[in-house]
Amino acid sequence: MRAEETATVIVTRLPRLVRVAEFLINVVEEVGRMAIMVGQALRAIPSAFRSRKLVLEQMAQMGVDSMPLVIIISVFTGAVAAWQAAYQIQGLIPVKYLGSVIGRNVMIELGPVLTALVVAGRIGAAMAAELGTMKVTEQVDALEAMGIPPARYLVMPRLISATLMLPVLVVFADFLAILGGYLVANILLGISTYTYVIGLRHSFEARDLFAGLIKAGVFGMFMAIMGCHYGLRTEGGAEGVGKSTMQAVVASCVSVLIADYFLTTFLFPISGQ
Amino acid sequence: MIEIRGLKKRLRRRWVLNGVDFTIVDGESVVIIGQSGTGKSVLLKHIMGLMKPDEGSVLIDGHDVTRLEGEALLKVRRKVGFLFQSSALFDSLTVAENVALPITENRLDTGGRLLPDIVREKLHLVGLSEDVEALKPSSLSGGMRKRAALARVLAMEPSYILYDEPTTGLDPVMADSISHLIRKLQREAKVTSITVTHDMRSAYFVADRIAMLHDGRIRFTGTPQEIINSSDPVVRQFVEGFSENGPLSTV
Ligand SMILES: Nc1ncnc2c1ncn2[C@@H]1O[C@H](COP(=O)(O)OP(=O)(O)OP(=O)(O)O)[C@@H](O)[C@H]1O
Ligand SMILES: [Mg+2]
Repeated sequence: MRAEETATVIVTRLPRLVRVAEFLINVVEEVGRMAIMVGQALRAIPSAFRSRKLVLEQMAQMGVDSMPLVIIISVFTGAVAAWQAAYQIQGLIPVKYLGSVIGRNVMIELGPVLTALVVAGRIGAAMAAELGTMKVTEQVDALEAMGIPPARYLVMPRLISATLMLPVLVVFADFLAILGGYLVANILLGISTYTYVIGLRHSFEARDLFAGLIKAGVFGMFMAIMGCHYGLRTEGGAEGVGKSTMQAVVASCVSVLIADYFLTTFLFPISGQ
Repeated sequence: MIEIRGLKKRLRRRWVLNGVDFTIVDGESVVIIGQSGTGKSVLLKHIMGLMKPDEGSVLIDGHDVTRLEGEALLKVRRKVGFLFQSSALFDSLTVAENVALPITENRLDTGGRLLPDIVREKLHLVGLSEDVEALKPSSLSGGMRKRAALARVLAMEPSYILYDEPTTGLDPVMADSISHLIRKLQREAKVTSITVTHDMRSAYFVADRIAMLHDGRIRFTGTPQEIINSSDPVVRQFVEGFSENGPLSTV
């Protein structure tokens, strides 16, 4: 009886087990394909100089496309950060130290991560939509038919430019967020410009800024990988393009946040641990 | 020489190719006919190595494109031009940039000639004037897109060209000029050509040999005269193009 019961349990749960197994196999396959694509793109990097026109075009497009968004979100992020910091430290630390709290928060975390999340929506989606359309209209096949590897012509320029361009955007974002924080601190909280700047300078460490920019570069890389991967595996017309665009955006955001955790623990070790 | 051996491919639970054996010798012009959806485009994509078969092989000058990967495959592909049924021009590039792309990206030897000159020459060859050079593919007519795509194929100076329905969707005069072009390239530039078409008029003109793909296999091969005289009911029905009372189904 017992054996029979066990057998029944196994049989009834089998479909679910199979589905779980299929899911895991899919994930592994997906990651494998991504790794192959990235490997091919990395091997194409020596020809980046020859393809500099493609790289520069991509960089210009990313910069121009993203800048308005970066300006708006950065100023408001800084403003919110200032208000919230003031709220949290009231009664604990004199509010005049606001500048130092905001400066560090922005450079270490808020600047890179929020910029990446917002820009992921634009860059990741734009890449997936463009490459997806090329895929379903056989333009990717046409490249291959001409003996031009898509990894070199399409993926490599996007990978390089996203990796380089995101830190550039984050430098602007950091600056604007600190400015946004200043506006709130100065106008609403009555902190003088002098005090705010002293606070900033007091807590400023160059390695915070650089570590933040390294994060940004890695985020940019992940965005490009997701955008290109989902774009190039698009199937089935306009509907397929829509689907892979959405998948690319979701995957970009998720990978940014996961990478953020690991990079943060690695780049900002807590002393004494 | 292109040798197709025992090629099998299953797509959507159907053996689209089910043991295709076929050899194309250098310098000849072969036309492949067959009903819509029999897998003619799929067959061409296997020759390009764009699709991998479940069984069988395709040898181009002795290199098996079904087993090659990476750079080795790309190298073989550069000898073979492929005119896509959908033209597949890069819509972010101008016509001139499209034609120049295979040369610049593959760093092909231009023998000291300037790129714009080569582009112009290829466009002239397919009957397009320099006015179209700066246009994007989206602003061209279907016939012009096909010609521009053909110019891009010619830019690689391929030894083989695969044409996927080169005359479909063109007016009869334009279609005829494309047929002449295919013949001219074969005769003058010694291009070995494989043309997939439904257009029997073009087929008779272009072909040294016609092969019919049916039920995943080559059902018939022969000269245009032989196909006209064939007594095979499947071949007869296709060639004469009647839909009632024949072995070919239209559903
Ligand atoms: N990438 C693919 N995935 C799945 N099925 C495919 C794919 N490409 C083609 N097929 C299927 O293979 C069959 C043959 O398609 P193919 O495009 O080769 O036909 P064809 O002979 O070229 O027809 P036409 O004359 O209409 O162009 C069709 O049933 C098609 O649905
Ligand atoms: Mg077809």
